[in-house]
Amino acid sequence: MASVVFTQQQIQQIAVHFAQEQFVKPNSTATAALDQLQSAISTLAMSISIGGGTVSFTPAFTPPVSSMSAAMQAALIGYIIQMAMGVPLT
Amino acid sequence: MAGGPILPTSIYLGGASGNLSPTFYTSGAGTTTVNSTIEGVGVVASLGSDASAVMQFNMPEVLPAGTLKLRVLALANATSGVAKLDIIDGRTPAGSNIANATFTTEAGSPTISQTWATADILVENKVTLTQQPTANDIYTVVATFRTASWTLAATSVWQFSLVWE
Repeated sequence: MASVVFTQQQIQQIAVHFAQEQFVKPNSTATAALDQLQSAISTLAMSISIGGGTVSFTPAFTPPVSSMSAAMQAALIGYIIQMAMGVPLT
Repeated sequence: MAGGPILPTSIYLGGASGNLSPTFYTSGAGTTTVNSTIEGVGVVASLGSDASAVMQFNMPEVLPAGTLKLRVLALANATSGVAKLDIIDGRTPAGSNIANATFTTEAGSPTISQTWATADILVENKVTLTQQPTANDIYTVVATFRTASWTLAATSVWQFSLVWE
């Protein structure tokens, strides 16, 4: 199993990308600050199990991210996995 | 007698590497959003490097009495986040080089720290300016938006004016 430890810069890149995609582009209200997004990313303790058509997961973001829509939380999880797999955030 | 506001006669954003732009803000909520549009200096979300707006104000023939202040209005579609900016000011009479003016960075480091809690409302700061103009001066204000501790994750729009109160 691959394991990646994010640098602070990578965590910041994820937070900035999330803000751009989820707040700025759709002109949605920014309900979280950058430092709150970075904290939510760096403190997230979550496992996702995918196998045989079964997906198990438990979102565990800290507030205010935990209060965001499922779509936003799923997007943030996606950006985290993208970064871990070395896929550019574009 | 109090006076103003005086709006900038010149705003230069070309040294901000695309982080600042002349733009407008329209409220996304409220009764008559179409009437809420306001022009100003736009700052990108999640500001990644320091960015300066260089503004020149033409002083009137007769200066109002009172304390000279920079009035700073700002808007953002955000309920969280902090914006930081320093204010630098100087004065230049005609026949002189603006670059040779004495410039003062106002206290605070940064001078303004604005926290957002409500989207679409006008937030206001007033900064007492050190440099005292004389009639007909060109008054320079540089607003430098600081990336350090900037956490506002939305674009914001800022409007600057001089007032005496």
